[in-house]
Amino acid sequence: MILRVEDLAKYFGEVRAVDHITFGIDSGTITSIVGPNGAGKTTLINLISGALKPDSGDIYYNNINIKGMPPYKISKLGIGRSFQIPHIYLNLTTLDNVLVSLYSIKGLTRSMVRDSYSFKDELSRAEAILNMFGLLEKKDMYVYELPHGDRKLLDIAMAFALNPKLVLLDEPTSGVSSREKRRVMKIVDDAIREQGVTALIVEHDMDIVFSYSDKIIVMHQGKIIAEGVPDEIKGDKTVESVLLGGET
Amino acid sequence: MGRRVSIGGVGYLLSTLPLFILNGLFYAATLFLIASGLTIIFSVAGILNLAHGAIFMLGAYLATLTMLTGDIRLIIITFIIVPFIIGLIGLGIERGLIKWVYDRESEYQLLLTYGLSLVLADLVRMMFGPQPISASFLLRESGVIDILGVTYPVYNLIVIVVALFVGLLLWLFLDRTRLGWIVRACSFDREMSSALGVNVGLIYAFTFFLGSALGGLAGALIVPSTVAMLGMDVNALIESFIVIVIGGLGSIRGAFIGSIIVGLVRSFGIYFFPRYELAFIYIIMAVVLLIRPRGLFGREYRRV
Amino acid sequence: MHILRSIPKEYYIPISLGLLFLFLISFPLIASRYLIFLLSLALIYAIWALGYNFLFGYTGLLSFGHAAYLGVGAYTVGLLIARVGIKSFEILFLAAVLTSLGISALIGYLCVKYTEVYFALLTLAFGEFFYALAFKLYDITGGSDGVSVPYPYLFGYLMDTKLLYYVVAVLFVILLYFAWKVVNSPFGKTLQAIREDPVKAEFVGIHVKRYQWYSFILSGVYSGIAGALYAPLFAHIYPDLFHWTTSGEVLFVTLIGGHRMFLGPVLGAIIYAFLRSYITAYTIYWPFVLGLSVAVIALIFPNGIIGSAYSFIKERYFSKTVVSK
Repeated sequence: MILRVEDLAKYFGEVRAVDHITFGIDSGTITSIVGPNGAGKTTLINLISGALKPDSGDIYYNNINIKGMPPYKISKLGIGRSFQIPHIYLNLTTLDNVLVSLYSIKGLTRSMVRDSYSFKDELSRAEAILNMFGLLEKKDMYVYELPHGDRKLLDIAMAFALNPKLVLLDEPTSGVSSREKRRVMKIVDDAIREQGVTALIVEHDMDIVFSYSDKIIVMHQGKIIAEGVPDEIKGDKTVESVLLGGET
Repeated sequence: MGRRVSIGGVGYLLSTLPLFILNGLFYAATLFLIASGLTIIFSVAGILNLAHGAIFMLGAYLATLTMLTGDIRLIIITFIIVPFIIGLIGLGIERGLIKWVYDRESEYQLLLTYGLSLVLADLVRMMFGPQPISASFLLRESGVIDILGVTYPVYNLIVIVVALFVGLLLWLFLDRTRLGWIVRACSFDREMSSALGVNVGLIYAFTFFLGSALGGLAGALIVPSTVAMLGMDVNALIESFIVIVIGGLGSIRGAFIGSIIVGLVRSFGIYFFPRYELAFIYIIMAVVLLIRPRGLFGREYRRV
Repeated sequence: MHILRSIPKEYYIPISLGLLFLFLISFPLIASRYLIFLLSLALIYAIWALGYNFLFGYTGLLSFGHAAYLGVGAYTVGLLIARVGIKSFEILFLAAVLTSLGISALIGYLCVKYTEVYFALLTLAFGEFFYALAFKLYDITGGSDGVSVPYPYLFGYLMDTKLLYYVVAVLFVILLYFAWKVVNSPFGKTLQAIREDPVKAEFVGIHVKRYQWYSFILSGVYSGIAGALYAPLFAHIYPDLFHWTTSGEVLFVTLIGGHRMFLGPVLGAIIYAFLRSYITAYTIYWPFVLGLSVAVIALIFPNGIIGSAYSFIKERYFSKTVVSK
């Protein structure tokens, strides 16, 4: 198990955003987390990636307890993450955006005198990653010029540049037109398979969820109400009402 | 440096202890008003108004205009008029300038208020000249009183009482009135408040008015007891910021406790270690920053 | 134009630097003492502003207290030469670098724990702290009388206005080149990433606070060097050096030149140094002018006046080329 979460909880005052949940993820799988708004999905991602400290419980990544570690340390361990609203470097070029991740993971960030483009290995790796995400032609464009779909892909690409073993993707297809959604998810899926990473994806589009997931976790009001392969979840009536209704 | 206090001096120390405390409280009183104004504006409108110190200084200088006349009734009205005028100036700044930078990054907001503070401070210099202005008529007229074994100016005590009273009013306003609740709601979540139909722009304008008026009141109050001088703006800004650091952002209670701490530390520092009194406040600030970044009563400073 | 186009890209920088260096070296041959003084001042401000812009333009941290490190550098030199009697500039310079490094490391550590607004005010507060120190420790610092700084000696030669100018010019070229390297290095890109999106930077494994600290120290050292050159240039230093209006000067210089351009602060410094004498001749209300300019730039010209002009020209020229295609 590459990731194991045990009795994890996070409260915001009275609200139990994540209410003592436990689950595990096998290496090499794609797991989707679904649920209505406010179910605690993003909070869960925040907890695993180190953005928030849990109030109780543990998070095991490759048997290392990463609870409470700061985000930069968790990233260095091999967990990458993307965001619902893409976090990218607007005033840098697309290529630079990915290069920064590579410098970080290769320990080059202290290099102060060599030109950043003189690192040939990293340069070609960056271009390969951009190619994987369909952004190679735009490598010299400034990111503020990129459309939303490309920005989401770039956000994810920057996470993949870390050579992670586990990626946490928060709504990778949100904000993108329905036609674009399929293209984006296909690129992401290809990247996952090519790099052999494990993925934990928060997603709302159930078509995508059923098409790509090896396992689905359904959350509601901070708890896991269902967990299983797509076929199991499809037929589950409680899940259906929760996802359609939103409130119980 | 503690060598100053000799054996016989301990008795001296004890007998003048009330003096230090009273002076500390007096200083805390005005600092509380300034800091409350700053923290209200900061927590509601999200802008740290670097010109707040200049606003305070302007209030002090304006107050000297009437205080030098020696007309008691005029002077009493000053304490109402000056805060009102300064409040209007704050409002004008908000509507005229600040509102254009709400959506911008904080650097531009800071730069704007920074430029504004320089402009205001120099305007004061243009209008009133570089020399400090003393207008202690009211201080002398109010006389002294024997309290806690020392002789102390009545005026300073009045200021302390006024600050407490204003603090109480402020708390009641924020805690018990509808407008106060709306103001507090805006400080917690702007988008939510606006979604609920609150005219956020109006609330911001009001907040600037209120915060600036508090600063103006502090300026008017401090004049009879000390002088109005150039440089008091930067001083006030930094000290009120230290109060907010210690007491926590967005908390009136924090501003209250913080200003008492800063006031007392300053008072003791001046009496015992006059060359290093400045250092004490900075050391306390540094310690608070290292140990409890959000201050005593502040809300959790968002990390991500 | 053809000749220029045939020069390979890699040589642009060395050639420009070489030309710059030649110009600076020959300048005293044609200029009066006053102009040499002004250019020295301009280059000192340029060094200071280059350093400042590491923190502001590249890392995105706005400091209102950078006069502190200039002052520390200046007072280190001034006090060592006037009170301790050390006259060799080599030692004075090194001392200034060390003290500014130490002080900026200490204060920077505290300040970068915070972002944006708190950071800005903390830098302001610490700047004022040094200002007060300079006054209060009058038996060491001379208080409001300041410190008189006689000419130091560089490797045995008296550093008069001319020699000082050469030292400033050489240091400027070196520091300019170094700054360019840093800005284009992985470290420089990392700083920019932190400016653009500190959240994302944290999530790609960058210890954001640590790198902000590094940036702070780097800018502090540049400021200290500027200060070390400032002291002998003016021959007398006052506590005003630590005042927040002095901090405002470096901010102003960086802004008019444009903090988003590498050479922006340098251009701003040169303009400012030459403009300053004219402005202070006309009015004593320099803070008013300064404040007004900063406010106007913040409102209308976020890219600085030169920066905005540059983008404006670029757009016009650029669109022309597209149209002609």
